Amino acid sequence: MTMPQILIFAILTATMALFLWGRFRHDIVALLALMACVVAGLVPAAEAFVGFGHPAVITVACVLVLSQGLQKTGAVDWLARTVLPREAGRLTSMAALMGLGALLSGFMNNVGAMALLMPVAVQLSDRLELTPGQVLMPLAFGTILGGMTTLIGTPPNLIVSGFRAEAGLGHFAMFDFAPVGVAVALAGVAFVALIGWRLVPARKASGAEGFETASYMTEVRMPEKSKAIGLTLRQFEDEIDDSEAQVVGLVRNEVRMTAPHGGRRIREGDILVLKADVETLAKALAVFGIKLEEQDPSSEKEETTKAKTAKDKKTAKAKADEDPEEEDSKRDDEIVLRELAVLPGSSLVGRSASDLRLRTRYGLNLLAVSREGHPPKARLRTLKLKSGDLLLMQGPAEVMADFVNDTGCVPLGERALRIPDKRMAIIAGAIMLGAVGIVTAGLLPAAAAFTLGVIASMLLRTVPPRQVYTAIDWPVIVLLAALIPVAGAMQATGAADLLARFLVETIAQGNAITALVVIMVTTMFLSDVMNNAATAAVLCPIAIGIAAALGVNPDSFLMAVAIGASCAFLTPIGHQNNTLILGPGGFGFGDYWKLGLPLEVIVVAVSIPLLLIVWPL
Amino acid sequence: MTMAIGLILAILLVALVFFVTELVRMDLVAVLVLSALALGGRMTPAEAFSGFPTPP
Repeated sequence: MTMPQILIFAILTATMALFLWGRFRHDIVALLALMACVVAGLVPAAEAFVGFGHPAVITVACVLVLSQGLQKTGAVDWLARTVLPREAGRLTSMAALMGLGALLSGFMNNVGAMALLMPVAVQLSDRLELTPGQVLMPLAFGTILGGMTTLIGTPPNLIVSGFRAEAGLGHFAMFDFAPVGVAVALAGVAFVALIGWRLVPARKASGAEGFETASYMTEVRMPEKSKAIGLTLRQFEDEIDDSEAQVVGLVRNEVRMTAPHGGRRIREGDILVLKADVETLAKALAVFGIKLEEQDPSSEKEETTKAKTAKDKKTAKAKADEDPEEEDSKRDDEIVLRELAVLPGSSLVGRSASDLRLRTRYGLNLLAVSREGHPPKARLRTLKLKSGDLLLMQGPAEVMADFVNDTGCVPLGERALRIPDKRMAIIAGAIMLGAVGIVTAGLLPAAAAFTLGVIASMLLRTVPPRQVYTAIDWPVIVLLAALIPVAGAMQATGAADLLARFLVETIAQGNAITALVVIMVTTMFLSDVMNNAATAAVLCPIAIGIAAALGVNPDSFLMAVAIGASCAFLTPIGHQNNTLILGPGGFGFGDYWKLGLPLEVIVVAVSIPLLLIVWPL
Repeated sequence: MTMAIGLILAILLVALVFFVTELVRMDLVAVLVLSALALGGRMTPAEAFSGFPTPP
């Protein structure tokens, strides 16, 4: 082994260890790996950033923008309404939802497709009398399976295509992935819809039920001469800190305020709406000479407050059979309760309710958080939010909608499918189809065709120019751009060939089919614990090396890497879509493999024979 | 003046007009110029994106 080979192995081992550890975000790790290669002299400094101009990276960014157009114009909602059956049994409904998820993620980014269909899935779980998780996990797996069907379906496919081009064999065509990918996706969807969903643990954590035991709302009226009079609400909250109470509303002069500003001073006769654990609260409030109101306040309250208070209480306590009339009575200015799932990459991640100043800035109350099925131990106000958390929030409907847009959350359960603008939806759909068509016909390479699509989206305003840059998931772009030269260095130093020869001689014993299985299973395993694009970038040079060592067709091996990289079904960290359903599904780390492992076995069983037929060795 | 020089000068002139009048955002103008050059056959698509990593 030469010195450069030792260095690149050391850097890669450290990089993978950092990916597995998960302490630092994957784009930081990738940049570190790149800089280590530059310092070690493995990647020339002048070529360190060529990854940013790599066609795969440009295409990923463009697909993200076009996906945004499909989402914002309502094109996907229209498709969902057309495709999904309104009244159907479990099998049909489940298969239709997963099929739609797979179809969408074949052409847009997987997380985007998932986020759009999550509310539909939660509604469906209600109709099918399943827990939300039992529909969400099949949907997440369906969208991941769908990614393997086209060139643009998921970043690993573009990476694989890029490595093929660099090896002098040219890019893969748009639907080169389809023969094996579609068959595998169909087999996967059929398995999950028929049998698989029964393997999903029935966790009850999502929905309002999960919040029931955490705490509930209560009201207190400020008596004369209470010590609390004159304090600001913020001071008052600090005083009763032990009970973790929050002032979520204030009734003064028969006017009700939701999420009152923390600087307001308490006056005599005010009614405070508190969200707290009652037993500890009673003790805390006794200090101020306040007694808890009766749990049902309607008997003594004014007409105006009665209806809403009763409703708040009812929804917060959340009987499983929620009142259907409530939906109809909603108006724009009305106070609503919403469950929001925190998307990976949301601006909420890593911040707490008090960091965000939810009440002052938005006038919203954060009532509860559900994480992996349980309310977290930490205090609500200082709890750092994570992706996959489920938040229960209360506030005016309009403000809530703004908040959802600003922060990157997915509202669950309440969102009805709709078409905001039919003309725009058609244009957005046409742009996507046009770009796909140009690539399929071989008129332009994917990067150029999808850049044209982005220009069209900007000019025709299906994606407002302002939103073009926010639509792009920059951490993924940086990750790809940084890892491509690193993977290139692995090839240039001969480290990839060394590893490939080792695998061929020891495990595969010179048998090409065994080698194919080994490379696919290795890819799957790595993809389960680290980012799928990173996995593809690391394994492509090895795949090409193995094919060269055996003297067989590299395409079979590259396709095996593409399939394997899209199989992150064992853990919640393998794919963003798995992370996203952690809170809403009430899942824990160990809940994924029960459905994921059989699914991965099926993927290998179906794809290996097909690979040998479609891409013969 | 060859056809190629004429084409490039024409594209640059149009771009300049857009940059000055600010009818369209400048990032969009720049990408449009890029596409015009790529479609006009003045550049291979691979060259078209080589501007994204610009080392100092």
